[in-house]
Amino acid sequence: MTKRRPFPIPTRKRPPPREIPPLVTRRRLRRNRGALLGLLILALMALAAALAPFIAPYDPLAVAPEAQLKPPSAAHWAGTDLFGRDVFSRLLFGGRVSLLVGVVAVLIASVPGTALGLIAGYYRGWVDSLTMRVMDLMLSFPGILLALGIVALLGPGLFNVMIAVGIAGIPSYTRLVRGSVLAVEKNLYVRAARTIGCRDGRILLWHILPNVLAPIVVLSTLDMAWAILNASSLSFLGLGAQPPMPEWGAMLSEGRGFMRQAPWITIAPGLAIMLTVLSVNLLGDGLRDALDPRLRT
Amino acid sequence: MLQLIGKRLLASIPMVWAVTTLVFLALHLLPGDPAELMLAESGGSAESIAYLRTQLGLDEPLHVQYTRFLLNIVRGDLGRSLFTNRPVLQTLLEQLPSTIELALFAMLVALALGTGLGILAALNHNSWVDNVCMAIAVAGVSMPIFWSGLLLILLFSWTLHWLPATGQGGMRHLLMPAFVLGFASAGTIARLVRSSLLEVLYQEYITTARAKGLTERVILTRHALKNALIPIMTVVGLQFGFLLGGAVVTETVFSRQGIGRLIVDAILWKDFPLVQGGVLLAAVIYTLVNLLVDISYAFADPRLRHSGL
Repeated sequence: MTKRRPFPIPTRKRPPPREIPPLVTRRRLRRNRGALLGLLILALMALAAALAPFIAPYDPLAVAPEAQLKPPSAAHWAGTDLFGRDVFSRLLFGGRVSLLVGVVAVLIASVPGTALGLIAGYYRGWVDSLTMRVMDLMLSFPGILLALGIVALLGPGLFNVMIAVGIAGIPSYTRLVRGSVLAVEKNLYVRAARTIGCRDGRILLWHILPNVLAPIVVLSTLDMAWAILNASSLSFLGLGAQPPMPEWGAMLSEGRGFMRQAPWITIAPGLAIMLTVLSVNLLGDGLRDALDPRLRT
Repeated sequence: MLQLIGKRLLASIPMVWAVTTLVFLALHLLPGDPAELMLAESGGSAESIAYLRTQLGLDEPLHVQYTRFLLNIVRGDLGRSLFTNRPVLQTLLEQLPSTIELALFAMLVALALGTGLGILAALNHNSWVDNVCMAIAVAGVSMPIFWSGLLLILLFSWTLHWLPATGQGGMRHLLMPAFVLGFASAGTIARLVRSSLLEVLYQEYITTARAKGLTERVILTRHALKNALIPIMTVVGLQFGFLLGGAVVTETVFSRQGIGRLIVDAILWKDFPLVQGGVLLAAVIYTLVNLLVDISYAFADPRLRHSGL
């Protein structure tokens, strides 16, 4: 006869399998159709831009007076412009410029912005107050106006536009990173690192930065859309890329005067800008939902 | 309430001062002063650069220039345009009504379109209506203003001959620019309204309202929207800044007068006093609009009013 136990023994519940964060992100991203579409369009655009010298049917700068303002045809898929240049070839090369502007401007904004945010959030005190007041000050200029002001100082040109758009983006990173650092810094592993004598630089780079990276990635993606849009606006205004460089905003500006006779010169680059910005936005939204749903607006 | 307004007003004074200082420093601390920047490209001689420097007072010590700059601003003197030789403030104030008119109408379009799309999407959460509304919102955010403006001109002015393509005067001239600018901003507002309304719709007081037997329409208008729209007010302030910036491009596309177009022209002509004045005016207007939004926020949300923040 078996003795009955007075109390049922609590059975230990098997813990749910630990999910690895990158895999969770990938799974969430895969389920998001918008993000996948964005990624696909962006990848195609980047590929077309990278392979432009090989796939472009014409030299983007080659002037052909006999082929002036020709509508789209088998020979010129997107027509030709005032100087007889092939609009499709210029679009392909223009993609290189626009994507490069987006990436460089985001780097100019995110690297110093993140560094300032890390320092302000970690050291607090007067460093924090000073940094954040300067950032508030920068934010008191509407984004593109701040960029315009910087271009006014540096002079028109594509490189200066990248710098201007980049600098105008710094405050958003500093604010975001500072907030995240304040939350992450309270964690036990940061205190543990401090206890075992890690230097501040090591704690910031190895323990805090990896844990605030997700929102930075999301912001960088959405910021890239903003940067491409603003840089092309500045080029459209004649302050960015200068002729004959094939840049989408500048191409649109060139075609403006011939909108009635040759609308394709304007429609094609505008469509290219919209598709690129749209795909980056879709991807950014998807990344935000996958990496940090709290950021959702 | 008065105390709150006073506090906010006082807090905005150092901000306006700091903005002014930044604009001053930006122009004076860069390598090469404005006189050099203006004349070097056109091949101005050293004498002419030196003459312009004296004319602009750039040969004096920085603190003397700064004090004079601040005193002049307090007196309402932003200097003279290098090209027209007219007072900068007067030139800007002449153009201001046109930009404000454009920004306000664009804001109306953005609010009407944004809240409409947002509410429609939230009420039909996870359906095709939601998807379509959000697709329109993303398209609005992604479409370059200068492109949508040109497309509208092509359609409504040159093909259908319904509206004038460019110029100033009356509602007919304002319709396209306001729509283009407002549509770009509507996307952001629509997304925010949607998420804010979705959050509110799951609150307990909405369940209570349903349990009381109220109709869905009353629940939406009296209970849900009132609370969901409060966060939208903050965005209105931020979006006003976007509209001021967007006006730069819109005014150029539709050949309208305005501060934005004036600033762009001034940059291209290297008319630094005009650029300085224009950017300063835009930043001050933006700061003041955000101050107004802050104050009206407290009016709309009794919790804030009573906490005395």
